[in-house]
Amino acid sequence: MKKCRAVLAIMLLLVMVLSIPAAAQGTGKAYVYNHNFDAQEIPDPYEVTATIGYDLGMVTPVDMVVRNDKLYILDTGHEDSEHSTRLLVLDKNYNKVDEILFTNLRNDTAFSFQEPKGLWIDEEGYIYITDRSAHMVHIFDPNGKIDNSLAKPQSAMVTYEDEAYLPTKVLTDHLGVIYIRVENDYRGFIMMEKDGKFLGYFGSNEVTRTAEAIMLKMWSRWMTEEQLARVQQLLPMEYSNFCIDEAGSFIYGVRATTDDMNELIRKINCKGKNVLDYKEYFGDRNLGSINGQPKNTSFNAVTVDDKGFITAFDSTWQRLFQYTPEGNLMYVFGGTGSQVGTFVRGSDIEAWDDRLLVLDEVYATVTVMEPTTFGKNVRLGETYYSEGNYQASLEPFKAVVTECMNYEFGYQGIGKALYMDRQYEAAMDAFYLAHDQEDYSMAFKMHRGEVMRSLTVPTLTAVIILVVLWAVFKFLKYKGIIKSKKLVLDESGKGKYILHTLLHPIEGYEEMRYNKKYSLGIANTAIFFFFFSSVIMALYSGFIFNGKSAQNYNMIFTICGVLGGFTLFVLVNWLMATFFEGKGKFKEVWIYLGYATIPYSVTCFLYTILSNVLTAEEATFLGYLQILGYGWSLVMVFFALQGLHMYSFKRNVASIAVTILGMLVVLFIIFLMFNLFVQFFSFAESIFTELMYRRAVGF
Amino acid sequence: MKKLFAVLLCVVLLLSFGTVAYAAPEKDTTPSGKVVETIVSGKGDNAETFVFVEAASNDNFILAYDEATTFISLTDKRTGQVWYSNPPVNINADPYVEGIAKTNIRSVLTLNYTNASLKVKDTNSYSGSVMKGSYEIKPVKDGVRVDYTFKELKVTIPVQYTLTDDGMIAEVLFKDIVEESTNHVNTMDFLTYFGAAGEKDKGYLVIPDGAGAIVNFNNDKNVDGMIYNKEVYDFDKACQTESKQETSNEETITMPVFGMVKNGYGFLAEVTSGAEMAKLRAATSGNRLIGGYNIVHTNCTYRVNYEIPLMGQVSSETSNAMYNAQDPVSNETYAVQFHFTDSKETNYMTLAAVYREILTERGWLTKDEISDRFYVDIYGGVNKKKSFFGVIYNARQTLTSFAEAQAMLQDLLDGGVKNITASYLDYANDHFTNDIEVGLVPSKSLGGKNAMADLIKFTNDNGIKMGVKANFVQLPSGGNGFSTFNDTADAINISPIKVYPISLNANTTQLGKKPYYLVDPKAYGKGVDSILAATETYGYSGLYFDEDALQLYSDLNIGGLQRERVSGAQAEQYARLAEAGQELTMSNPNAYLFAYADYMTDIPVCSSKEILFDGDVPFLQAVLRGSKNFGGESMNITDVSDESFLRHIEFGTDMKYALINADSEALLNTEDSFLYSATYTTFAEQIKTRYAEYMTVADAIGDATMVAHSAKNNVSVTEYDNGVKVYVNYTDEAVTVDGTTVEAMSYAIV
Repeated sequence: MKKCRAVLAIMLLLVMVLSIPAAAQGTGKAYVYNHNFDAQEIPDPYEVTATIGYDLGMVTPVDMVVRNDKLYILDTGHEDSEHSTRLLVLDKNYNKVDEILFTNLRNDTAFSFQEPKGLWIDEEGYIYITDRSAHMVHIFDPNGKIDNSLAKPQSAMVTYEDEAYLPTKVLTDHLGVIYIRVENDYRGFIMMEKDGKFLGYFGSNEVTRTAEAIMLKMWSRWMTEEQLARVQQLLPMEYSNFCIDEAGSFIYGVRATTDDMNELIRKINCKGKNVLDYKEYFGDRNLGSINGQPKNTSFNAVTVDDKGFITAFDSTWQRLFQYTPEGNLMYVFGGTGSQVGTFVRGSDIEAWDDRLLVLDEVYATVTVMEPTTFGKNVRLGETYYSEGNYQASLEPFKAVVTECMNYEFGYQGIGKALYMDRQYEAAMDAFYLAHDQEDYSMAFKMHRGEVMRSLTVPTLTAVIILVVLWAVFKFLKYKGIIKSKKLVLDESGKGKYILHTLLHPIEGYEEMRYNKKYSLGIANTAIFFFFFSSVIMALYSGFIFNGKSAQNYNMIFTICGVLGGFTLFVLVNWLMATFFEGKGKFKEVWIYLGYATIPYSVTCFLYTILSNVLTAEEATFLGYLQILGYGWSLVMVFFALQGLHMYSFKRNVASIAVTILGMLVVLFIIFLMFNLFVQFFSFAESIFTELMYRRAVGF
Repeated sequence: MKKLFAVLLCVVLLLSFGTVAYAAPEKDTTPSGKVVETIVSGKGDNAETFVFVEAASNDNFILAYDEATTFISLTDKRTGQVWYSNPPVNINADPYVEGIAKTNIRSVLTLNYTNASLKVKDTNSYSGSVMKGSYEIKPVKDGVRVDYTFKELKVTIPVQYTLTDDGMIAEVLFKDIVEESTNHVNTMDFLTYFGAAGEKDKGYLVIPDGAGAIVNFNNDKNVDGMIYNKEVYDFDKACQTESKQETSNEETITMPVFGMVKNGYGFLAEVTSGAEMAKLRAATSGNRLIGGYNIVHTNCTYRVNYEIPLMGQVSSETSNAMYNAQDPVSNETYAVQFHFTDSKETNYMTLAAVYREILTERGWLTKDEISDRFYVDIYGGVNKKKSFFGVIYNARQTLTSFAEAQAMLQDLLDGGVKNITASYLDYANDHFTNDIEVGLVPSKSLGGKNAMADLIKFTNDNGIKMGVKANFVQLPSGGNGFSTFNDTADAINISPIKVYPISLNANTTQLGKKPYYLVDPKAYGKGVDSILAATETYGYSGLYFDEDALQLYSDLNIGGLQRERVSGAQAEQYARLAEAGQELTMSNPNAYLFAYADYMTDIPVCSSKEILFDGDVPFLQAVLRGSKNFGGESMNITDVSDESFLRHIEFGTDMKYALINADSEALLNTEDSFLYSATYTTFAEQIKTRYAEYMTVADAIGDATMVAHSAKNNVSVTEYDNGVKVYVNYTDEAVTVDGTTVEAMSYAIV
């Protein structure tokens, strides 16, 4: 059986090996995502300083561990020897200092493994090796003699069969508790004591109770087994690998799922809770699919270095992602290929001080990478900052952005350092460059406070003067020295009548039919402001609320959306009035609805002003303002149509619904025509290309 | 039962004899000429005898062949070293290879062809022709010719070897290839095992990838399938399907040569005909596909074929189709000329010297006036999308105006930087209007015609060589007398080649972005006419051509020029520009353009750093140094570290920076974000100090040529023919080499 497996393994190896493209093109360009999630090229954060392994005679190294300043590599696949699996020990200069062979307890015969997968060395030097196909975790003493073998824990919580127990990775904490990652076990890591006593699951994923999940649970009663298997995917995904930090305080788990990119990396405290600040999205973004296959990030290894930076290895693209201790992406590097610094099948990564080691199964090498000046500066700045040494963190971050002006993370670092140094205005500038609205808002709040304080005296003075002036004015008016004029906007009271209509829409609009106090000029002005205020809002709203979208803002969309939408509504409504026996003419609909836009426009102006003085925390106020303004306009529209067409309430509602439906129909037809044209042209193009092929190739 | 068993045994025995006979065909033991050498390989039944019969000889060499296998041998009378086309050993002894790889080792040609049902297949000359006895050996003047007939394919491919004074020329006679069926010959691995080094040999392969790299024999990097395989002169964009243009950090092969140093003997081979369509391949021993040999060789193209997705869609593999160009390439022969050194202590520098002499003789390298220089790329401006009250428009964002460029250069001069070669990029209207860069009208936004005239006068007065960027190859959109319909080179599907930008993270072409087209080589003339007219109008005395402008591609339209002729077409145009008195600065040009380049920039100081490589060597630099003025890649973009500066000193390569005057924030949201660190003020001091340091080395070297180079434990020595030795120490501690102490991260001149 074993031989059979060996043959199979060789065949698999052959198949796999032959499928490596000859001299695959390397990528290896480092990048980072900006606020728009576009990949931006940055200088290399790490450089390869050594490649270990060509002279070590490794066959298929599967896992490695750094412990006590030594590197342990578990090498498998020595089929020509009775010791098919061995443990290499390397010192700091990557010289081989020892090779441990595994033996049985009694008679130094070779210990036989079936499918060794994971390696761990505990603080006392005991060696833990998972044997996937043997469903065992073996523990050896530091000399390689078998000490204990742990099978599947006997507990009601571990529900699956013995054969389904596939341990692949193992580690221990400083209390000696053993954590085992089991393939296909989504409950978390199995916790055991050294004697095999089951302690429970650790770091379980919380099942997300989305509406979808609940619905599926209900449906599952009537599902076939095949469908049920598919539903299983909705369960929280299993971990693919894990590591523990030096102090033993956190276990870092990574997941290999490719459909839900949230919480792919988790920093789990002793209570089993994910304590990362950033949990949202890990791995590559906007990759699309290649030949219909999604090529999303899939982490298969993770390590945490002496400064707490988390590095995860993506087995899809053979890339390394380094995150801050809070889970914020710093940079991405590595890649597939045949160049130094790229990999074919990286199976494990380890941090050794600030060095990163990547184990490549196919090349049977360990690639050693060290931070470049750029990488060092990023890490230094971040480390100083998290230590509370804000002043010191400024220098490295400034060096970072000098070296790479694309690097928003660097500006963010500068901003945070300046903020802590109470230089709020400078911090705002930095956060603006970093496109960090949240932190910008914080800095702005502090800055606004400062400005307000400095303005207290002049403001108070101005208020007092105004109050006095107002009192004097009132007094003079009361005495009759100043005669009050009635507010007349224009066209004999039509202007004033607008104000009346705005405040009393039902009465105002109904009377308007008879008193004819409406004007096309005023309506057109209102519609112009309807458009103009939308543009102003898009262009001049504050950075906190609007980001930098103004830079890419294109007026065409507002013209189509606001003016086009308004015209279409008026047109369709007027047409529909025929069915509903509405009395309004086109011009009247235009004017009546034009008046109704005024509250909206005013709101837009107000919003624009307020968004420049409010912070993100005060966003609710802006929300209320918008609801009020927009709602007011909607109410106006409703009563305008009711008053104009002399509809009943019910008929008005029906007419508006039909108007909206009509608008959709018109849009649909436009869209259809457009699509038809596009398809026609692409069809013609394909025919042309195909003809060209035939003409050229002849067969 | 017993009887049955006996019969079975007989059958098995017979079969096994059969297989032995299959592996080692019957031989005609009577040689037809003077026997040069007889080799018996293997023992007992496995023994095989090779009898090499003289075909030709001259003062230095004897060329011989083995009639049974068509192996050839070349005896160097000067050194006594014998070089074989294939290892003359019994292949059954090779512990690595199986199946077809065994006959590959015995083949001169490994053939890739498309059969009648449009399937692409492989065969080799040993199994397809020699084992079937369908080959013919003919004597020719100074050599021998072997016609391999692949009976099953009805294809005959003649190979010819002729002696030269310092080696031989090996050719695949393209013009005499006969295809009597619908089987189309595509590519061939030629002389894969020539000089193949076994597991006991010591030495290395020399690969001109980037600056150059060596691959040590038996370097244990024997992952199966790990074969270095790269197009000479970079890949052909006409043969890259839209989904397959890949991004990479790779350097290119600019010289069509390769070399081997084996036990102190060595050769340099140059592809003298057909290099444009060749690939360079190399591998080390222990490889299941290669066997126990270290090899370097070329793959030549007879007929272009590649896979394209049907109907232009990027879809699954199955709907891709293999397309063959109708006509084979136009060159009459594919020729590789081998030059053997007569030294027993050959190294890569000896081989570089061989090539330098060849190029000098050919006139591609002339002894230019050498003055070590400082190179600078100045970027004029970039289009930036701006919005005025919601109306989006393309604004011309100034990065360095003509006046600012002048001030920048003045500041460098004041700082002691002499001998500046400046390349001015993105200064012309063409750049901003997305037109082919042949109009060369100085943009008004940067100061216009008069400011440009001032700048030119300033550079002339101060001895600065300034080349303004031109490009008659890349066509971003129609205009300047070019149309995207008539003047574009086509891919194999007869639709224009479109080159899209590549996304960093997904490694695929960004089809949503704007592509550029490539100009039909037949339309080069009018572009150059326009450039020449502009040089008169605006008084330019130098032109700069970047890597994209120098790219080599095919036009696969019917009657179009393929790469092997496009190189000539480009050279012809550069000759016109040179004749008109223009000084040309070229970015890492290919060998066929060496003659026209007055200044070269972007000469890499590293290789592609393939895992297979064991070290980067200044091979390209050794060829150029003393004959050409050249600078490296923009340090502030690629690697600005001290280590990179030291590498320039080690490799005798002048520095280059890419600079702009504006703050780098001006680049945000533009296509030039690759200049992420290029603001002049950031680097002014660094340039001045580094230049002063560099000149102490450069002055000592003068116009000497590089004669030796070695590197060990991060300390390197580069030796020049005027006796100057430059030591560079990359370690953190001072070291003493040959009695010279070199400080940590520093250099010393002796």
